[in-house]
Amino acid sequence: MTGIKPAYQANQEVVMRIMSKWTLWGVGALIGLLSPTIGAAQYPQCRVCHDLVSCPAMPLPGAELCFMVGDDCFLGGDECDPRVASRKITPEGGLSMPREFQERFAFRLFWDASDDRGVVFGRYCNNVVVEWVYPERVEQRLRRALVRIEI
Amino acid sequence: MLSPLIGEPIRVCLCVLALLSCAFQERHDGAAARLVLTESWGISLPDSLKIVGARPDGAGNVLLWTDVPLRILLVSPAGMEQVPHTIPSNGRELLPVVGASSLRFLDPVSGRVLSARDTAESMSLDVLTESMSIQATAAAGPHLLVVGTRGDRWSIMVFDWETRGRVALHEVRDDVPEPSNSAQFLPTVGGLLLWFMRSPFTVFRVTADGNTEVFARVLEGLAGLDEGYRGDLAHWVALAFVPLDRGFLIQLADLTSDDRLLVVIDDDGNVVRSRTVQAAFGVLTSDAANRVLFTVRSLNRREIVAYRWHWEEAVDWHQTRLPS
Repeated sequence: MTGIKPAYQANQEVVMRIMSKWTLWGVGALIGLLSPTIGAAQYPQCRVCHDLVSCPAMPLPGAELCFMVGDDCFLGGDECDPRVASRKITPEGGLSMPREFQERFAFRLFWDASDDRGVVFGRYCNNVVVEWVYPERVEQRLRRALVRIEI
Repeated sequence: MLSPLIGEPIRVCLCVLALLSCAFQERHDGAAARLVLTESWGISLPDSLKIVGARPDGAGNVLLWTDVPLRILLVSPAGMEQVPHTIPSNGRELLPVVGASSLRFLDPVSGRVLSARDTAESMSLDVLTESMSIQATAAAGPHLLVVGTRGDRWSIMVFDWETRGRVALHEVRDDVPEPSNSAQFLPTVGGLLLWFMRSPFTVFRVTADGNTEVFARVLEGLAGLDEGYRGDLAHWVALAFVPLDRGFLIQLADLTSDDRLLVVIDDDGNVVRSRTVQAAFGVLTSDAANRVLFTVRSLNRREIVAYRWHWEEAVDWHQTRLPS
């Protein structure tokens, strides 16, 4: 009998194997289903503050209420902590804050080293807002470029 | 025998000339012309000033206002000054009556239309009887339109300015997207344009008699431009939709960067031109009669910047979509 399993035992093992596989899949699916919700607790689903009446930031283009880096969403809501968001916004090892902004913005400035501009998180209308900041040379270049706009 | 031989090339030349003149005419029509914005003046804004709305004063300046308490500011090349007004400060948020000849606000709680200039011009409207959640108001010719939601449908209440009586209550047709706070309104002659902040940025024309039709398909139109933006623009929002003296200007903002897309739409709703600006720059409102565009720039400081515009006839065929 050694090495030969009864048919019912073999079937049981197959069933168990299938079941454990399905259990894994089930748990995985459950985690998959829940993860957006878990994520939403920290970063609510990306949306823009649509309420122009009560939220004055929106008509002003320098202060969007929602900001995205890749597929990560950082936006308004009291539960959104920009200090947490900053870890994603800045490429690892790429933080390079120009000296002219170091004292001015302290910890609120996050700089994309691959670009020549940064973002500042602030609070406005009970929301986290983002404002762009530019080094002086970039600011001057943009000001010159915006004197005349052809569309 | 010679005349047919000579006449044929002449006829061919004439045909070619006629075709060229047609094409040239197309190229020189208002839609295809290039919109040129030239900076005129700018005023810095205090960081503490939280603006909720703006409209031109008709004299080349712009009126800004805050909500609670309501403060009205006149911004001109000379500076910024507070404008006295007659609207009581009741701590409530008011909706501006867009397109009205003077600055007026609707108090959605009391149903009163309040004039900023003269309390005698204020009036009560029967807007509260239909349990409508009021979203916006607009002056459209002899009518005052009050737009809101009843359940999952858009509704429009039409009032007569003169009699102050309600003329009609319309439900907007089914294929207009469901009410959401991302909808905005721009009054036009005889009705209003309903536009949405999220992709695909379709603009609907709603007339005072309740008829609705698609006016502009911005996303499709952009894809049709030779050098237009491609893709679903899912990460973009429309921040402004303002009238020009020919057509309209819509501004889209990329939520992932400071890219701003300025899109010109002609009077027929065709997307005719676009331009990307890589700076925190945006459109507030326009004075189409005086050709002044009021913008906010945030280049390390917030400022109101007025641009005068003119049209230059297009000489390139790129970015230009001829009417089909």
